[in-house]
Amino acid sequence: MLETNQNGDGNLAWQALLYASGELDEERAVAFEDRLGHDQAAREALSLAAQLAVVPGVTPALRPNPDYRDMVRLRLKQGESGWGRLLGRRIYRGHPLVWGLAGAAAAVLIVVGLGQCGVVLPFGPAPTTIVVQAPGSQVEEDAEAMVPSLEAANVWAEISQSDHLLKAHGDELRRKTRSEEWHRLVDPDARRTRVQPKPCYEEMR
Amino acid sequence: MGAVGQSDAELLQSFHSGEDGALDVLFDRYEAPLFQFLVGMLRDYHQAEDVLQETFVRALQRLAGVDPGHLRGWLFTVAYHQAMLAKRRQKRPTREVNRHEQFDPSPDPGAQAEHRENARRVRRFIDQLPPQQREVIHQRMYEGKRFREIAADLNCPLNTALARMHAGLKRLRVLWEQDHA
Repeated sequence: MLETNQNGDGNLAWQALLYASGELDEERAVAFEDRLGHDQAAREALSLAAQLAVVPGVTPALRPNPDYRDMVRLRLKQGESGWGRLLGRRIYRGHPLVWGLAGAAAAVLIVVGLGQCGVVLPFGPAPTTIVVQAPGSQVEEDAEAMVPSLEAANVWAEISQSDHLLKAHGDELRRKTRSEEWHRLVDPDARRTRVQPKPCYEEMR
Repeated sequence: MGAVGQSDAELLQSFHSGEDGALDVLFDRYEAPLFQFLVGMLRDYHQAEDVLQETFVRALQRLAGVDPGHLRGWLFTVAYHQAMLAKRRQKRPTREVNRHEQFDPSPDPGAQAEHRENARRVRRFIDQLPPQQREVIHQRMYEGKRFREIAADLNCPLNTALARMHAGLKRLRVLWEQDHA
């Protein structure tokens, strides 16, 4: 029908040229695509139209990157195995499988993350039981924690019972006693007069 | 007889028996027309490359029942269906291929000089074309006009403008190849 189009767009080559350059309206573009589905002549015309649109030396030649050949070989060797096909082909971002895998991965991450935070989930492994102690026993534990260590007590006892401290204490008592006796001898009213006691070294002279 | 001169049926037989070279000959034979067809359908070089890969893989995996003498038609059929799948996947509207952006804009002075020289030569070849063809090609290539606009501008039917473009590009290609030969 396209060849007899009254608007003069019917010729296959021109149709292909217009289609390749995106200048066919929606209806005619769909009709041409339908024709491409079964008409080898239309396919060849489109191929030629795309080739003609390339101006040598100005626009690049219509050649694919030769790397695709290696990918085809690899995929053919991997055959029909599911993993081989999955790994070998380029996956479109909009493919439902991509979104499904991404969603599953996100769900796993969320579950693991919540599990790490101690959140009890309505599924999965049984949660760890947390036992809360009564206040009394808690106080006893705190008191025990506040008791000084045995090592510190021993050090304190050693300091307190050392001989030089006992000797100093006895010396001080004797000095006070002698000083009071001397004041009583010098001044009988010493009880009423406050006399500055002499230093011990003077008394010893 | 080398693999290049073999028929498709012979090449497929060699391919099935594990001859790797047979596949290269098939690639050489069909990748250009298939890729051009896919670029014409998809107007996207990278997508066309993806679909080309998919086409060869699927076509060669499903050869059972395919007449080896009609391999070309089979490859185009698979390419068509893969391209239509890709178009359906593609939600955004197809953009027209801007072939000028395909050139590497690298600041390599040598490449830039070569590109300028090529452009000069193409302009010289365009000047050798009949005036009507020259005008259509000029408006299309350098002014970026649509074919309908060119037809309206030249006050001629659309088919005439397309025919002039078609003939002019063919002539241009011949001149280029003669120059390079």
